[in-house]
Amino acid sequence: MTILKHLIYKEWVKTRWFASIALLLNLGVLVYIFMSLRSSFLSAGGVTYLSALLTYKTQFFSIYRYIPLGIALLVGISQFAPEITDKRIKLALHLPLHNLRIIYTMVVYGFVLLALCMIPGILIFTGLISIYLPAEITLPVLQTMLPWLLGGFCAYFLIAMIAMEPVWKFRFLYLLVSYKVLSLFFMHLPIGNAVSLLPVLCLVTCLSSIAPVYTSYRFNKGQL
Amino acid sequence: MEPNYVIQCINLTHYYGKKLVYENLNINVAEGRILGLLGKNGAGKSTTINILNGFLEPRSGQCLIYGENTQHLSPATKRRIGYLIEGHVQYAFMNVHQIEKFYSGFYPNWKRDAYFNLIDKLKITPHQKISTMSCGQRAQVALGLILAQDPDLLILDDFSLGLDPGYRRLFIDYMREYAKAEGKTVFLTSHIIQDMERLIDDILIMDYNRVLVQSPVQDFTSRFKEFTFELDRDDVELKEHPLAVNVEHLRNHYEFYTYGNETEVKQLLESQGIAYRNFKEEPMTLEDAFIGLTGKY
Repeated sequence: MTILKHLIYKEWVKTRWFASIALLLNLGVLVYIFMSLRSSFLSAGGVTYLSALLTYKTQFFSIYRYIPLGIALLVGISQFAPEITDKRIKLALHLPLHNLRIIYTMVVYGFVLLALCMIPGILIFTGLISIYLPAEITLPVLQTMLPWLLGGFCAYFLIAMIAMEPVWKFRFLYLLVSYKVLSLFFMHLPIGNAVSLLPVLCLVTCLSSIAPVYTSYRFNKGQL
Repeated sequence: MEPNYVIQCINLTHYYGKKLVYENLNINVAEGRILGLLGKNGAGKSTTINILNGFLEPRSGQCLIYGENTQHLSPATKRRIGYLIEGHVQYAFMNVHQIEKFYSGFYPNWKRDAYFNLIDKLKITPHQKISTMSCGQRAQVALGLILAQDPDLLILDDFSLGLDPGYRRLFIDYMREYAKAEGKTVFLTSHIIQDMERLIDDILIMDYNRVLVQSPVQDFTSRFKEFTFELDRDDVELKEHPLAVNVEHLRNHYEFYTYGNETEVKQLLESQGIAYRNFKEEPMTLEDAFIGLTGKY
């Protein structure tokens, strides 16, 4: 446990400022969306606003679409850029632990940090919009946002995968594949229509979580 | 009696693509010895260091450290190895206190005082990040961390890179004193061969695809000789003779590198009917011997 605590300490030193920015960004955007909703609700009148939402299916929260991706980039890059600079990852892999444990402690740390940056904000946001919106609207809103959140997690795993890859040309290849994979999560779908996609997106996110194992294995074998 | 080997590389063969780095390389490092690995750029020094640290899988053969294959070192064995990455790379985003706090959790015998004794000599502020330090200061932080870890084996990859002469001397003197006093085994590489001379017990010189020398450094420097002489012509071909390890010449001034003695070289010249003058044995440093052995190009 002590060893893991020390490993996490290094990750914390690297990421703490970027994670703070990510947390503020997430909360800031969600508060902005809520304030806009509240203002529209109060100025247009509740019934008119709700009927407009139901009729036109306005995505009043669309500004949030790429925020999880931005948070994943902040956390992922702050965590892995220092490790690939000067091949500093060798220092971590030289620590007296099994390599898989080292890599997965880093990845799980990033995953938890990402969740801490995004999930509490989303829960508060859900609670707040429930004041003005009925469950018939709140639920599809969350269903629409869920792919974006999953996209954030998937992007983080893919950043970890790319960072561990020892060969630059493969990094570019993975970048292209990642772009294609992530575009699945950020498709412009009408509110609530992403529900059928969610199982696939969950599966892709789960699969992406094991991708860093493959590239770290390649790094360890010195694949060129 | 067979020495107790800390490092054993057995029939190591590696290629990058189709390019052979070396074939059937065998290296042994006995406990308590300081071995310096020398070679020109591309001779395979970094490849060997990477294999030793488990960052590269050889095409065939294996390296053992404390009897364990370096591809699958256990945490207990990793704990016994101190590794200095080329250029004294460390976690530059940390300051000296943070990095000490980080590493101390991994090593039960962590010697905090050994680290801070070195760090206290640096003219740095307590919260100064390693990234803002000079190369010499970074080297001292890296050295301090290794001393605090108190490993049984130290692997130092190009430890002199970027260091000015004063820091190089400090590093070498500190390392030799520490290794000898504590009975540590050291495997190191450096581009600056004059540094090696003060530090190492054994030498391993690699050339492209092969090992040229592996012996105690005293044996090598006492056996390997340079003779210079002048000939009437500048087109005499002496390289093919078994006595010649390497022959360099600038016009009619010849440098003849050999494991033979003066009499043997003179006999060679006379047997070929080659008239010579100003024949003399040149004193050589380790660097001279290295260049003599591997050639200038």
